[in-house]
Amino acid sequence: MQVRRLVAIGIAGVAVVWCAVGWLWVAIAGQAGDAVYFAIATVLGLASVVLGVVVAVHRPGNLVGALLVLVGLVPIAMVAGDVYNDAYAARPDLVPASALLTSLDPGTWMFLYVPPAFLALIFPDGRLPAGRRWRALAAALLAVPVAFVILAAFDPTPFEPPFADVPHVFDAGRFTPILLAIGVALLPIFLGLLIATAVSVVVRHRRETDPVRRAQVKWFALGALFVPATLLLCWLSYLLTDGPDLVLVGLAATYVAIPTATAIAVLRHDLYDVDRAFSAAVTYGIVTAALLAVYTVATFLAGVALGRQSTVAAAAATALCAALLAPLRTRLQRWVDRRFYPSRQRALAAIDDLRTRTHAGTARPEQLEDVLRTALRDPDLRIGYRVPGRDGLVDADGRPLAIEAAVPVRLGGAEIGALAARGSRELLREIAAASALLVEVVRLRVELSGALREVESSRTRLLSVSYAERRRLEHDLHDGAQQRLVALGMAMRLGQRHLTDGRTDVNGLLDQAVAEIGTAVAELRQIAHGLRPSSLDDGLVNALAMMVGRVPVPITLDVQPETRYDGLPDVVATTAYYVASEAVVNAVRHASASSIGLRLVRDSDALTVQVRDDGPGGATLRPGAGLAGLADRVAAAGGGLRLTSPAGNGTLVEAVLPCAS
Amino acid sequence: MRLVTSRPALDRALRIVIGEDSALFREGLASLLADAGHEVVAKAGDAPALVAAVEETDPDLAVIDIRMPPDHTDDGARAAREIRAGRPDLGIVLLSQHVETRHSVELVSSGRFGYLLKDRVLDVDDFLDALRRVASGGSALDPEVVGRLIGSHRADDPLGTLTPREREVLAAMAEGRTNVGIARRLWLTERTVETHVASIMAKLGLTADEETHRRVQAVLLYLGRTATP
Repeated sequence: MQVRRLVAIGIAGVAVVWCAVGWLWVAIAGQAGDAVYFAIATVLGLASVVLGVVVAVHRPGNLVGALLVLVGLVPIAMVAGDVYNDAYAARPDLVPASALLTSLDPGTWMFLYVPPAFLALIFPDGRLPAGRRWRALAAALLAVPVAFVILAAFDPTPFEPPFADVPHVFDAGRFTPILLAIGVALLPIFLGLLIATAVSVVVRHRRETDPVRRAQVKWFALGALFVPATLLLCWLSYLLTDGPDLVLVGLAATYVAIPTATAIAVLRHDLYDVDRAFSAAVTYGIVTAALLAVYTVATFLAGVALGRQSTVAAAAATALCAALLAPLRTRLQRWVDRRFYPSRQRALAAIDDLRTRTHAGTARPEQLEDVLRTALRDPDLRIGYRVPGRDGLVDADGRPLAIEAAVPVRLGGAEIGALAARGSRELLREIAAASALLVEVVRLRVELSGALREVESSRTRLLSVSYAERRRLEHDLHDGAQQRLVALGMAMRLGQRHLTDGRTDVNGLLDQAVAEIGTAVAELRQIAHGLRPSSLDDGLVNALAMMVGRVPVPITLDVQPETRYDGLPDVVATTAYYVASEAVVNAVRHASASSIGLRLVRDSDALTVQVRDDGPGGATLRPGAGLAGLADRVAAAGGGLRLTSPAGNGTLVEAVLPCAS
Repeated sequence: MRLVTSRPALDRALRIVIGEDSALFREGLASLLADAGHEVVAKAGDAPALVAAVEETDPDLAVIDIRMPPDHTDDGARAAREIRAGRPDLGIVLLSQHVETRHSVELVSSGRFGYLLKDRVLDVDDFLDALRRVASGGSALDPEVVGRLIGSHRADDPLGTLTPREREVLAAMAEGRTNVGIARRLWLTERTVETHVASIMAKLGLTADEETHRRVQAVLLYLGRTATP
């Protein structure tokens, strides 16, 4: 395992030494052009070397790092060779020359292709693709350049200056033409091998089922796309400058792109949506090629008609290209998306379709999650909706939803939901943006149905509370006043039966009867008070003052002048009274408060009741408990109840009841 | 207080158990019954104690409040069923604070059963008469319940063909009264009552039966079956 890392670092060392030697030759040659040339090669080569070392350190078991370093060595070695020629020309006395090496040199250019080809072959896992053919390809990729170098060494053509007088080491005599013919035959074979290598990348992508590896292969292929891009550049270069100068820019770009894409693929393949980048690269590549073709044909035809150097020809060709650009790009993008980026295309089409069907009334926006699951082939896809008044996200049925690593869905800058699915964040962001309107509709519907449900359950709770109260009143009436009156009746009947025989104390009987009636009346009054505090007839403030007077804990009553509360609707006054008395009872009973503050504020549009105690706090609105019942009552009156009860810091119950004054 | 033409003879003193949780009412009722010559052999404040007291004292009649501890719902009615299962010959009068038609009709038509509102106690003679009737195998259904049963009938029903007098007789029959009782109550001769009864039974398509209890049963079943829900 560690060996591969050591190999990578070893080759990197060789690259550095080669650089140093190269710079020595640059110094000896003493040409400014060489310095610039070699500086560029050093930067490009060392960039790849450094990336290769980084990959090797992070993935020590993977040969990709070592090969990347080797790829970096290629431009350094190539340019160093050129610089060596100049150095030898300038100072043959200082620079050593070997007849053997000079003889072998003519065929070595073929080795420049070997590291990138091997990289393509073993990427991303560092192993050859399964199958004997690929092993044969790998062997051929090594064997053919070796053979070519040896065969080329038999070429008796004199060497280029300054080595013109270096003797040829190899000589095949009369077999020379045969050997050279074989060498020339190796060229198309080698081209075939390179094409087979490119095919291996496609095959690997087809076979790969693991989404991570697929993404890695795509990243690599994205870098490799610079090779055909360089060819396009070559074409463009001949069109514009009648020379291959721009190709050097393309080669430089290729040398940056391949190592960068490779390193990204290995280390940070989830950084950006490779499908999207790949798709865009292919689209623009084809568009450029097509436009170049059109431009070429157009200038040629216009040239035939108008003369070779006509500016009109160039202008006409340019105008034609410009007119073709927009429609060509859009159509091509769609076609390329279908081939190279199917999930994006499917998801966007599905969202579009759902929107249309929702509009037509044949689908519900809540189906968005199912639709996207099908389009992205991801059964675990979730969409969360952010509903006001609820913590966290909820699903389309209003149930709480915990999703991680979700992409936010935004509308008008506000976050309205989140999307969690497999796939790159870039793709999810795009889908989230496309679904924003549907998400907003669902969110509003969830909010609405939640509010309706709450109203419904609050109504049910109020109803059951009122039934419970009625039952209690019925018990109180039957077991109290009614029993008492019937018993009184019986006593009087008994007395009546004995009126004549002198066994009845009429005075005593009547006294007892009046006393019983008095008790019954008192009981009835109490029951009636339970129905509606009769003290409210004297105004809310008086009723509260009376209520406060019955409580065994000191209460400060903070109210505005009494006339401020004139004209309060009965429902507001009654609700306010219940809030105050229930909260006070709670404070006394559960919070064992030592002092209570009761505050009543009426402003232009609302009446606010505040009950504050200095108890232990920690109270909650438990369903069925007294405070929750209060919340329902307040809500039924159109207001809101707030409970602030931090542990150890007292409790504040605050009800705001709307009432226009 | 209504004048009574011939005070019904006190056939015999009844041995009575009272089941009632309100002490005020229980003691009042006990002294009323004692004053009328009956013997209150036990007083119970809740359902289990009542069942035990009946077991222990073997009374002629049990007067039971429907709502009693421990559940304060229909504990008295449930205790009554339990007692009835063990002692089918024991008369039972249930007292209630409010009118409840369905179960009361069902219980009363089973015979030896009474169902009265608590304040009927103030109509002392009638109340005592109902107790005696139930103790001797008859039944007693509160006039309020009977009124509701008859009142809940539609106009086009056979009940609509009854004359007002016949309706009064039907109500008294349903309350469990005997011909003699009906005659005394409505200031009629027994003969006239018999004529009315025969006419009513014919109009409603019921077979006239000399035996009072079976007659009550037939009338209640008729009213219960044909009442609009």
